[in-house]
Amino acid sequence: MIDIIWSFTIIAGILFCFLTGNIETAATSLVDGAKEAVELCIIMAGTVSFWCGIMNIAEKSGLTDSFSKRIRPIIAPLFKETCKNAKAFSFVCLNIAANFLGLGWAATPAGLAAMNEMQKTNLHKDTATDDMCMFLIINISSVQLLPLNMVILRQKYMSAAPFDVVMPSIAATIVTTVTAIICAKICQRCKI
Amino acid sequence: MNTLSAAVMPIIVLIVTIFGLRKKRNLLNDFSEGAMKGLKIVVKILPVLIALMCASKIFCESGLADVSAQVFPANFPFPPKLVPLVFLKAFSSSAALGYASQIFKIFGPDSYEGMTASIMLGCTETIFYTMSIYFGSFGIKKTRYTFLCAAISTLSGVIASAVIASYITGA
Repeated sequence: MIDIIWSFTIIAGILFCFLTGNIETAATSLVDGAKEAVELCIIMAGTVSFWCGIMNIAEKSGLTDSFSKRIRPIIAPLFKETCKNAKAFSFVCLNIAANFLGLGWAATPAGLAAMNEMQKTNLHKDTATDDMCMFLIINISSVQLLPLNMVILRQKYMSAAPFDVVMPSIAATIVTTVTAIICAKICQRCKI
Repeated sequence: MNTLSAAVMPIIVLIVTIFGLRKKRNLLNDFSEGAMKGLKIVVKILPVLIALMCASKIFCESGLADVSAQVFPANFPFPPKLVPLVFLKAFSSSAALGYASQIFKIFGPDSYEGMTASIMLGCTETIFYTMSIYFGSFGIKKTRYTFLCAAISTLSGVIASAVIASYITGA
């Protein structure tokens, strides 16, 4: 799907430039776009690496694990079946903890392991269970604490205060996650 | 509020470092191992980001963005130029990042539009990508109410972003 959006945008953009007589704009925007992407990655490389370094300390020192154990009582009521299965539930908690800290590389493997465990006890293999739906919905609602990419991007485009996005973003994340959980609970009740 | 925003990252770094020190870990070793992972992540997204950034750029610079923004009525409660951002984010984070950078370029990151985009990308996730990874890997075809709830949650995030941004910027 993203392939279609991308190719359509490129084609429509170039044709539109030709139609409006701005042939030069088509050429410069392609060159500038590539340049900006590389510039952004160079800026990102420093901050993202720093954050990943710090988070690796958190992971290796056991901080992530102890954090994922602490959030268990909060998460347990959301996963009625899975919380009885210690192994599956520990993966669920680890995934949510990793997402919370912005550890994408640790979140996805933990999430896949959680899904694998949940699938073992799933009676209809092609249908998602309530817990699977809840797990995916929480993941998509975003539970990220620090929107680091946005801070970096704001910095690159000369924001007066790049970090100003953090607290508003946390507030908005609470809105999305609470909405997600309420919706999922309603759907569970209605047995959709 | 702003001081608090700036404090989140240093506080986490502080907690992690003190915790690591108490566990007597080889801190710089662990750090550099993680930083390497971070570098690899950035290098990995670069090729896709180039493609998507070029597309975003030509979409905005060609005037196509202005034309498609006119589809929306003048009293539309949400900045029309941010509508593509909502859709892009559902498919790909890199695409959203590429388009957001153009939004920042046009309006500035501290404007109402820039702030809405910032918060929005901070509080939403890629719906289709996440669903295809987690459900696709296990052959789950009947995803039931997952998409419905995810879409409602994303929509609530979009509304929350616009409301919070207008509160902050006073627009």
